[in-house]
Amino acid sequence: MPDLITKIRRGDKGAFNELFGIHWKPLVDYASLIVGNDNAQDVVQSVFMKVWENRASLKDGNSMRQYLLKAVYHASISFIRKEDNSIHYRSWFARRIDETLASEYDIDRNDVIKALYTKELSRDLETAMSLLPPKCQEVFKMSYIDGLSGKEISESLGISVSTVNNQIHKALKILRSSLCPYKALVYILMLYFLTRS
Amino acid sequence: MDDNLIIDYLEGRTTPEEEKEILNNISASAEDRRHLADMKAVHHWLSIDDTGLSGEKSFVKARDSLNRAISKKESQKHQRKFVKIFWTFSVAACLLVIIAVFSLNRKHILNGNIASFCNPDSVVMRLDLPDGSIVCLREGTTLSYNNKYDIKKREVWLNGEAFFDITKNSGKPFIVKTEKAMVIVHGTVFNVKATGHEQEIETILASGSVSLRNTRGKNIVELKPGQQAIFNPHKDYLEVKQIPAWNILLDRYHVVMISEAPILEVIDIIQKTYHTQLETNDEISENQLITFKFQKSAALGDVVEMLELVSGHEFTFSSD
Repeated sequence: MPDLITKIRRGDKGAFNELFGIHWKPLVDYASLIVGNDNAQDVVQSVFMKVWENRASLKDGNSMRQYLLKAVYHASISFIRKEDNSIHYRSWFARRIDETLASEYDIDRNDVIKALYTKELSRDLETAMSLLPPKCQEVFKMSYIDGLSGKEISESLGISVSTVNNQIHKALKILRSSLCPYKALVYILMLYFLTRS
Repeated sequence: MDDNLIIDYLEGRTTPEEEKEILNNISASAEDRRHLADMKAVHHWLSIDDTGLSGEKSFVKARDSLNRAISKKESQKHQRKFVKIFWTFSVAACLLVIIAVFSLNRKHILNGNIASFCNPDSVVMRLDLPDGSIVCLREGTTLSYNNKYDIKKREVWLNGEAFFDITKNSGKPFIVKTEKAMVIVHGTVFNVKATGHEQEIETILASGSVSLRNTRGKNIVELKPGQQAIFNPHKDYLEVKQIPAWNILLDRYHVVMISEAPILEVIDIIQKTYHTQLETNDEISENQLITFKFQKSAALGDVVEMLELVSGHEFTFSSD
């Protein structure tokens, strides 16, 4: 039974459509981070057109998702570099911010991006939690589920006490910088809890 | 940078003044830039709508749109080829070629639909066969195949000289038939020259393996990569010699083909071909092997873009 890539290399359009089906959604989600919702599908389509045209040089292996994400990254960057692109920004500064941030979304250089788009994660809090290192998860459990104060947490973890007493999110910030590589997730989790409580 | 400000920004609650402050921060500090990017990435990811039906509908729409775009592009390509043949060739000459093809392949035309391509132009013509194999026809060359191609075997008829890059499929052998001999292929890159008026058939093998047989199917020789065979069935003459196959193919077709080579070697070839210097900030592993093809006449920008797509690295190049 030849695998999908082998079939595509031989010019099998059905297999190519299957590949499209497997990766389309996360690629569009990823592209929309850089080029906005209105343009993401076009960017992804242009990438798949290229994949089909160059199907003979497709490589085997299980890193297809990463390869496609990288291609989408390149296509997205060249899209926003075009002067007359139709992305809507709420202000000139917001536009400049997005342009400045774009290069940070390179899948090879950003572990957060890699985790979000190469693992099949469901978008609920529990999964987001499970992305955190064990120590980080512990902090969240202690803080929000067990209802411990910032002081109690920092004491039990041996972290400086004075800075954490009043504002739990400041304490978590310190913990984050020393313990959690997925710091962005920590913030969003914080946001999630703070806006719910 | 203040996290509350970041959260306000992500939620769209910031004023232009606050956005100016954010812009200044991320322009000045790489750490702030990465931090805001991570935050935005997660915020974006969590806000993505996964709800079933609408997602499925838009997927079907996107898939149809992709397939339409591909068909359109491919039919345009086909049309361009046809126009080129039509305008560069007089009607009389075209007729001659058709007759020649007919007489060569009379038997097969009776068998069913036949696709026939001839290249009257001095520019090499590229054909994409239904199985993804690539054939490049030199000037005055005709290649045909019928609608049974790729069913049990892959058979083409050649008069002239062509270069083949065949996709591997051991279940369906690829056979090039000429008037005086045939070449059986096992997934490979090679060149066959068999012109009607000449007595000799020349085969050059760049990679893979091929066997040369006479018209009755009797094996004459098996070629190894880098070998050239010249066979004259009338004089029963066969000569096999070692040649720099890739260079000859480059010379005749202006196509540079590198298969499963270390990426550094590929970069080196591009640099030499275009007299340029490719640079990258990525770490490039010496073990990364890539398969890469480009036409010498292609623009450097296109070649580099292709290399980026194939290798996953970003490159810059000097323009002189």
